[in-house]
Amino acid sequence: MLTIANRQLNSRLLTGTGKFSSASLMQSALSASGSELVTLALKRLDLGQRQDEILPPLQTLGVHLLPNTSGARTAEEAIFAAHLSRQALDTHWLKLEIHPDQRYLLPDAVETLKAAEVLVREGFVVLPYCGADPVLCQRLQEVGCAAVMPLGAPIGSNRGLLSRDFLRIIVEQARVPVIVDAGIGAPSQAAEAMEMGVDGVLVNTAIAVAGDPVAMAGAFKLAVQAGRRAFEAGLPATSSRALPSSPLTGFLEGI
Amino acid sequence: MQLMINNETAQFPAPLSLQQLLELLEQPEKGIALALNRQVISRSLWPQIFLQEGDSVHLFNVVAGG
Repeated sequence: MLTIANRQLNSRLLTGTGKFSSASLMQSALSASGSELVTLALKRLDLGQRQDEILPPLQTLGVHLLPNTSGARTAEEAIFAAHLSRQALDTHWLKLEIHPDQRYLLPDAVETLKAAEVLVREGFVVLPYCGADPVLCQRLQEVGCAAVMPLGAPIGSNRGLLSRDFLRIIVEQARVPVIVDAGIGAPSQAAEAMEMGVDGVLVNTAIAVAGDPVAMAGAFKLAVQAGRRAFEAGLPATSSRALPSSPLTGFLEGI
Repeated sequence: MQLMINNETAQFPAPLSLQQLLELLEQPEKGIALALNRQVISRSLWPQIFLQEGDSVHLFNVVAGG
């Protein structure tokens, strides 16, 4: 059971709704993932165009919604986006993300911390997307963030846990849930994160653009469960030399 | 009266509340947020706030995202 700000979630797999080729495929994939907390974005309304209906399938699934502030380049813009998303979805939960650089979409630590402080004071449940910086994660926790969401690798890059050594430190120090957000491209990478002791992972691209998104969502669900179970079971220590698994009694010597 | 909707000017009948504006634009109420003159307006105030000549309204909707 994953608990974020007093909300209990059975699934430790958070999912995004972006990049699916259709709303029905998204619905089937999210259902197969077992995810109970899914992200959404905001956009300037295009009055000339018919809007895609994103909310009805999510309401059918009964998942909790986590709007993001994607598109915000400063704390001020993120706070504005947060106020909009609260009105649009009637939720005070927020994935805070501020990435001014379009090439790598790396989060701006200074603006993120600034916005988090204001939004927590305003009553938002803030889950910040952030660099895998243990000191920053501490600071975000101190200003009242409900979780921290350090990246594994750049958004949509599918490169896995490039930040693994720092994620380990974050897990060791955190008193709020740690969700690895961004970069996870394969179920094995999700399992590795979970084995490390993170509390959850957020996956979007790797599911949405898979050859079979529904099957891939199922694979991620199993990987997250397996990784968590392994963490709870207690992984053995590693060694640079061999340690025999069978008794070395020399019973064949001198025959 | 003339209003700016998402940075484009258009003519609308007066009086017109924010709620009525959304109805005129055939927008669903769910998943929508709006800002009047760059101020985010709480959903509960939409029926009570009436637009004035030259007001700027920005409309936003929820879309898929990660």
